[in-house]
Amino acid sequence: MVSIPLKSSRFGFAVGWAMVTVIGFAISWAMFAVGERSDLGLWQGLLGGGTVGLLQSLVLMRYGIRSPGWVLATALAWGLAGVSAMGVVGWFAPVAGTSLLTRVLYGAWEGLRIGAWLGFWQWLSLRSANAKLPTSWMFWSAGIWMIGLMAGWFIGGELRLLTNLFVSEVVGLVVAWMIVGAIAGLILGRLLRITAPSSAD
Amino acid sequence: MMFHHWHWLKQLLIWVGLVSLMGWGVPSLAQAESPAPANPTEIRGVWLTNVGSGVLFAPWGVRRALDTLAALHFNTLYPVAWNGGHTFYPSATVKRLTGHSQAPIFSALHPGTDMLRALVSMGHHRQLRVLPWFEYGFMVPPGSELVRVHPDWLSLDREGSPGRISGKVQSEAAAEAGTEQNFWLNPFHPEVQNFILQMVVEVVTDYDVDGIQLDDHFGLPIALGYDPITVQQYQDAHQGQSPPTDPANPEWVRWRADQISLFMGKLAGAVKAVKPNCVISISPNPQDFAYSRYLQDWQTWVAQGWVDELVVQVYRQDIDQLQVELDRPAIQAARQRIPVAIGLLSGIVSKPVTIAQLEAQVDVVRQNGLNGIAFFYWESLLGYLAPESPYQRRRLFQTLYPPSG
Repeated sequence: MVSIPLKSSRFGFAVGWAMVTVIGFAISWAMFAVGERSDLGLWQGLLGGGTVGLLQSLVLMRYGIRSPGWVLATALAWGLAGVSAMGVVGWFAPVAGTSLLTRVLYGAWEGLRIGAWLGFWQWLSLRSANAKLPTSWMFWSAGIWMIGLMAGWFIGGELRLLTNLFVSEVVGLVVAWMIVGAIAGLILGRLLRITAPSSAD
Repeated sequence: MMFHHWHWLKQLLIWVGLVSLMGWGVPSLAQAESPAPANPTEIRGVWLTNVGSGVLFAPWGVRRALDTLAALHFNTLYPVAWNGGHTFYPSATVKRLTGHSQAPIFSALHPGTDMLRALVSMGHHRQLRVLPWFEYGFMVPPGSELVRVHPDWLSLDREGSPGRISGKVQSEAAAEAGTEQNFWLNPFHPEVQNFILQMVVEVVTDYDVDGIQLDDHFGLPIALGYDPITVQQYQDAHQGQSPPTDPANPEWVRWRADQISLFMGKLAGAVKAVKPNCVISISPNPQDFAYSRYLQDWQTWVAQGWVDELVVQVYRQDIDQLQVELDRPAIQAARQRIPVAIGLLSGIVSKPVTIAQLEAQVDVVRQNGLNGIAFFYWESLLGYLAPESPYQRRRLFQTLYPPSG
């Protein structure tokens, strides 16, 4: 397969990354439903994380980054989050009746936690790859998820107030994943360009 | 560069396609034939519709819904078979008229798959009865191919117009689904009757269904019936007298309702001739409303033995109103002859129904000793179009429905 040199791609990587991240999240709905924290655990984390990670690894591969551990790391990170106090944050909504302010505050905190956790596993998975992630990726990931979850939970909450329908939360989470996918695509692309091979096949 | 992106996109599409195919293709290919489930002691039904619902369109949608329903001990499915001038199975009858064997978007999303066949197979595998639901009955959208091909099949009001039904005749659920904006096929027209009959019989003949269901649209709004064919039929039966100009004239209402009842008897006979054990289920509005607004005299249909199961739609959120409807003589009389269940509204987008409301309604129906409940519809019952998460709604049915139903 002919790969695209990452150094020559300014936005292609970011666009691809954002797309597959959201598509991965959407495909995961076909396997399990979005719920509240206590509804989701290990299996949902493994399935959801694995799906998103699998599609993301295609983008990495497309840009010549061999990353056999990426899928496993993403699946494990989400799966383990599911059995910990963190929960499968990317797939759950705050309980009904949570105020918008609380949503924003908790979104920030939960986003920071899961972002750092996910960033750690992803950093680990690319340590032995031909392109390495700097440790700063963990901080970036924490910040990206903080912004994404704050926005997503806020929008989901506003819509839920308006409609009294749980589907509002799903819309909020789509927004969160879009934000995360887009910003992560830009930053990850930039970080990887530093260490990525100039061409690969 | 373009080539690189295309190559990458192609690879992504292949992956997504493969993953999706697992959901779309496997059920119809891999399900072994299972025996049809027996008729239940308590009907625990759900309507699966194409309006405001993704269950029939999403990859894995049907399979996941059926898995969930089976795990929660539901036993009856009413998947839409006829809606908006289209069928949701490949229909030779409709294709002859419109050129489309089934709803085009449905065909596009399920290429090469007969979803009804897959649904019957998957349902039986999970001990769920499948009764295709001819939701639209005589109703058709103004812009449909059927209307274009056969404008002569439409029923007319006294102004000679296939007028959309004015006034608050139909339910809020129907208004949301846009059904108040529809035309109506003339149920007294021999060709229309033949068309509906063929459509129902082809499903009973071609599919291993447990039954069929007709609903409140298997009738005609009282404002209609002034088309030349119906007028001629009326005159033939009344020494040349024309129908009364008042659509609510009791004799005129009775005559039209009787003609629809005659067709119902004919249709029931045709179904039983093909498959004697096929359950004929109807889901009308309460008798008084159905008769006085839609010329649907289902009490007579039950008394004549043309109906095997009755699911009366009682979409009332107020518990006292629900009780009033359950006490109606027509329901009590029907209970002496056949299983009678109640259709409850589990919510629509503009009117979500909470778990507490649902639980209270289920309690009332059960306290009255009725033979079960059917919920309209999947997405608001156990999907995302509800105030609570799907998991919370499922937990309600884990306690409500023990495995014995």
